[in-house]
Amino acid sequence: MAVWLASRLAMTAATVLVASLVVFGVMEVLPGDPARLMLGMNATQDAVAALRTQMGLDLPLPVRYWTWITGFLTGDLGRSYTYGVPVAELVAERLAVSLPLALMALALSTLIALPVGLFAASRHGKTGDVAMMGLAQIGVAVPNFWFAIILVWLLVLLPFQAQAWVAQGGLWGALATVLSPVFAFFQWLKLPAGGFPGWEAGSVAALKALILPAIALALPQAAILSRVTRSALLEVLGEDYIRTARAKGLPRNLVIRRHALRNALIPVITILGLQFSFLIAGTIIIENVFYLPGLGRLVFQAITQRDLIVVQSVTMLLVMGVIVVNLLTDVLYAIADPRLRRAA
Amino acid sequence: MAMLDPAREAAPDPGVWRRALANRSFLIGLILSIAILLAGALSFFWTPYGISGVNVAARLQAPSAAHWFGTDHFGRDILSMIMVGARNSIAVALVAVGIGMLAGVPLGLWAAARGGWLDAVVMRGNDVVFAFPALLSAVMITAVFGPGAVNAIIAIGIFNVPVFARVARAGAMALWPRDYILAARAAGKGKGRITREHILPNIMHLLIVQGTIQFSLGILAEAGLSYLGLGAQPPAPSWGRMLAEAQTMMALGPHTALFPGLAIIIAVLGFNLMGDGLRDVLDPKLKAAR
Repeated sequence: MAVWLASRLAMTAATVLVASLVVFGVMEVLPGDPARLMLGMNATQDAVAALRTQMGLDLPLPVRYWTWITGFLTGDLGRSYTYGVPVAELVAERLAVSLPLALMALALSTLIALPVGLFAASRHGKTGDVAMMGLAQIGVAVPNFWFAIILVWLLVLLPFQAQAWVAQGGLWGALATVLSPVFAFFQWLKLPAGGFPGWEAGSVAALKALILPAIALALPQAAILSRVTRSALLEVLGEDYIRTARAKGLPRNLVIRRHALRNALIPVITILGLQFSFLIAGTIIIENVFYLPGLGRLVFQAITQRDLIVVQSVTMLLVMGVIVVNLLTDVLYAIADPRLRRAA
Repeated sequence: MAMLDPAREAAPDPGVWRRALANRSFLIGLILSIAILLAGALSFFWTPYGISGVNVAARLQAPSAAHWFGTDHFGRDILSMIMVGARNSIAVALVAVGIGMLAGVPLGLWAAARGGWLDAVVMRGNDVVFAFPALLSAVMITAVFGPGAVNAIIAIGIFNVPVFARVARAGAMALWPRDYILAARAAGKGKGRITREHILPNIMHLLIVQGTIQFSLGILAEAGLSYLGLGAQPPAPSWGRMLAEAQTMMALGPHTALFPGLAIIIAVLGFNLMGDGLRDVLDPKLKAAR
């Protein structure tokens, strides 16, 4: 185990190193001189040159890489050109939005996926299974930003418009009247269609602003996860010890709960780890849909504003996050499955 | 494992089409995919309305007999826009899969054939690419080279490379210890020739299944990029940008977002179902395990 862990750690370090070179390299070929961009087109050549020196842009490549990566590893992520504050400060501020959002989405998708997967596996081949897996197939195909737009329409815009329909009468008016308690409930919820009031506005207001984005992020993840849960359970249910448990006379549902679920969770954990990367990608789009001041939106805006050091450091942070989560899943996997530990 | 004639193992089973069509997933997927492909192909010759004209008088009309999917904020026919947009989605996803296959499959096959340090380098390289959240990198790539359909293709294609490398390598690794490969080696065939003549034909089904799945992921990724304004540029219609424009119109015309979104769902669902069905038909062992 120790040897395996050591080699796995060495591999992780190598991956981080190569990834940092890639991130740095991409930033180098990004067109546009940040110094020129900061000072504007009318700035004199001398002023630009002076700023370049001040920013360290005229140093040789290896020196700049070394300065960046050593600073990065010691927590100094550089200073944003556009915001004029340390990147670490920006990251901490934005993480207060992105991290709760990602955790809410992760929790939500797990809460949906495990029961759905369990239900489908316990009714393998029957109508319930087919219906659930059909829904999951559709869930995988739904783009999260479209789902987000539709959610805002259904839960925020429609309840207001429906009031006018009730007055108009006709078919839509009748429908709106029937649904009016639902719409009234949505109106009472007062979910914001976008923006973030900040945690200082109170945790209820802040959490409300994150609910719709979290649902939009969670849906495709839940669809994938429920499929994995189902197939992992079905695989485990084919094992000899399950047959033994059934032969002992244990009811099927008890066997699933007591024996199968625990073993099926191993692949589920792995997928959860892999989904971290998808979640990060998802936050970039979803934070843009809802105008949330999170990490994803920070990177996106920094790229368009050519705030290179922000892009560089935040991208590296996200990539490191993915690598570390993958490492943790591998280790968890090895701990959970003794066969793997011995083989390793 | 009995020594199978590699040619026979690779030859398409004559019953494969019949079995595929009897597979519910494959059949539904095939119908949906063909619908999208036909819509895109038809748009080269005919669309219900032109998509370049601005007709403010007809803006944001709800779906009707004249405009099945309604009109957008410029008065353009949404059905026509979706049909032309299909071309863009299909082209981007198709070429991105092509890039992934052309670069990834040889890499994976090479790694499997040579083994040792080369294998290690290729696989660690894959790990590095996998560590980059795909959309983040696609945003970075389009930021470097500028937004546009071609750069969206490159951005999506790069992330298909390690996927195909992994599938090809895993498939090839399972085949190398087979008896008929040993026989071929004993007969004096080189590793390159064995890879071409025996390995590649026998992992083709894996690649086709992965190809359909990556194709549907490509359509989703393209939609995401063009939603962010990094895909095909105006005036070329794209599903993602239609959604971005519709987002501000939701109070006036929710249909402007509804239909492009449904088009994306149908395309992705179609190719996913087809891939799932194909996997069941081509690889019955997997079906038993699933």
